[in-house]
Amino acid sequence: MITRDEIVKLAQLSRLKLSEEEIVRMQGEMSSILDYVDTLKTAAGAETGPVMSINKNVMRADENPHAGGEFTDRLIALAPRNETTAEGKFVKVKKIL
Amino acid sequence: MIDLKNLTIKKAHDALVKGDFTARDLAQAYLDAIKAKDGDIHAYLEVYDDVLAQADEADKKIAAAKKSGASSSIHMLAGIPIALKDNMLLEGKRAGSASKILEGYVAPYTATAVHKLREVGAVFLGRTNMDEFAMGGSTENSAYGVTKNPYDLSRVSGGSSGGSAAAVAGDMALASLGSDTGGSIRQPASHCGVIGLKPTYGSISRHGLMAMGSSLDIIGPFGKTVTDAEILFDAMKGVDRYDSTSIDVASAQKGAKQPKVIGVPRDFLKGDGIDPAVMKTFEDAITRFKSLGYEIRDIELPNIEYSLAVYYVLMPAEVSTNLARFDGVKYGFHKDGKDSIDDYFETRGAGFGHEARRRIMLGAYVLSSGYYDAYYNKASTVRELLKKDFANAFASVDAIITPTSPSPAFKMGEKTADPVAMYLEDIFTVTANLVGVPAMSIPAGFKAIPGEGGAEAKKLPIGLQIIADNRREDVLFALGKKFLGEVE
Repeated sequence: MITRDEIVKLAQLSRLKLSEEEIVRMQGEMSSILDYVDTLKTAAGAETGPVMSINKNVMRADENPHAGGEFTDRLIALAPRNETTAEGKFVKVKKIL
Repeated sequence: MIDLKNLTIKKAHDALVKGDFTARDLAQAYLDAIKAKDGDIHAYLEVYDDVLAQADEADKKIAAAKKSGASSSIHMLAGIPIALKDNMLLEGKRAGSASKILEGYVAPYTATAVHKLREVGAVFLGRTNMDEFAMGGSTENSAYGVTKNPYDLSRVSGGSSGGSAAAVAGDMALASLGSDTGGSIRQPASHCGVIGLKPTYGSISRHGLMAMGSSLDIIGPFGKTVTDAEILFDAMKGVDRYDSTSIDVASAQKGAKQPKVIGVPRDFLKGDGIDPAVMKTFEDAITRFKSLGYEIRDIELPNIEYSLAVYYVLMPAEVSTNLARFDGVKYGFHKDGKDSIDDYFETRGAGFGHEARRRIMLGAYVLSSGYYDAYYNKASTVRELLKKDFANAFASVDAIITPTSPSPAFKMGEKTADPVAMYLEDIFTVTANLVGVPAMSIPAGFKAIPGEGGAEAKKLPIGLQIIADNRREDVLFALGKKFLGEVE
């Protein structure tokens, strides 16, 4: 059974604001899903270890890049808070420091 | 009046080339059908405002080709009206994965698969409803309401690509596109009585498809015939420089032999969660394949019982990563908080629906340091075992068949309170995504629902899933056409 504290912590890590009601609901639902997923523990083959190395590097060289600024207007316009000043175009966020 | 009910891509193409009707006539017929029926079904989130203009462009292309005596060069999809799932980008159009968090988002570029269809003259009707970010099996997780099943309006269309399946089943699009991460094309195809193809992982570019589980996601077509699905697949497949996981499948299919042996994983079909009507349809399908001259062979897939558990570890892990980008800063919905970090809590708390929130948190849980080995690593290991199981099976059989879904379309609200019951909808479909192999659902029968309390009797479609080895969509098409009696 996943604890209430764990749910609160996971919501914090996931940057999700949950209501009191949803914390309770989430605790029940996630516990039943994790109970189901626990059948994995009976599967053989755990001793084979991590499988990360199977994936190869698939990055390509960045050939023929598009001209700088070509998409800037379109992309900046999508930001919910944006501003154009004499210094350029910006995505606007609240002061962090 | 165009007979939309019996229309296929091939028939429409022939009529467009012969001049029986124009692309504009055809587009208008579908717009009329949407107007008449979609108030009840709710397959579409938006019908584009330039459908007729797109059709006019297609008519010009067709006329120009005919004038220069090159009718045979007219692409099969020129002028064909197609619906797009709301998680694929079409430049200048809204796209939102049926989520509030993408409210106001307009696609700044076009997805490769969609671009390829546009290039050959396809006409896009609009964007269809889905479970939010493709998470669900009923479209009940859409932020914009549920899509109802054209066969019974009290039931769901399946999901997540429920809108795309219902649009085709309800004759509100000739074909459509969906995406499949764990069954999201095949399960709604089964529930709506249409063909749904989940191609080999990487065979169609994911560029411009909103990511859910990046190692599992694939775009695929819905159609009324296997041939229609094949035409769309052929038009979209291929390596794409914008998707490093894209692969070529054509070379593997060239000169390959026709399928002869079909495997049945008997041990996997003994659970009591399967509707008797689904099992009856499945046994009838086996009999039909035998009568068509195929050999049926029992096979073992030793780790298949773990596939759903593996899926519900790896998928949320990838979801929690992919959905981290929705922060209310770069695009979409923004809700103000008291400071910068609080903006995230407010935006993501209000913008994501409950299912999305739950999967993000599950993903964070299985990836956290104390549980990583027990869940993520273990699931990754079993995924590799599953790949070996399938490689072994395909050494002796050409295809594997199972039911697509354990039951026909269920009532709205029936499974919303129990997430594990909803997840079990995917029991037969998730494995193909984990292993990467292609799989297709075809209509194989019906379950009769007697009319009760004055309600009229209904027939609910039941699908059959055919699975083939990697890059062998040709096997699916060959078997599907034989089974349904489609002439080449």
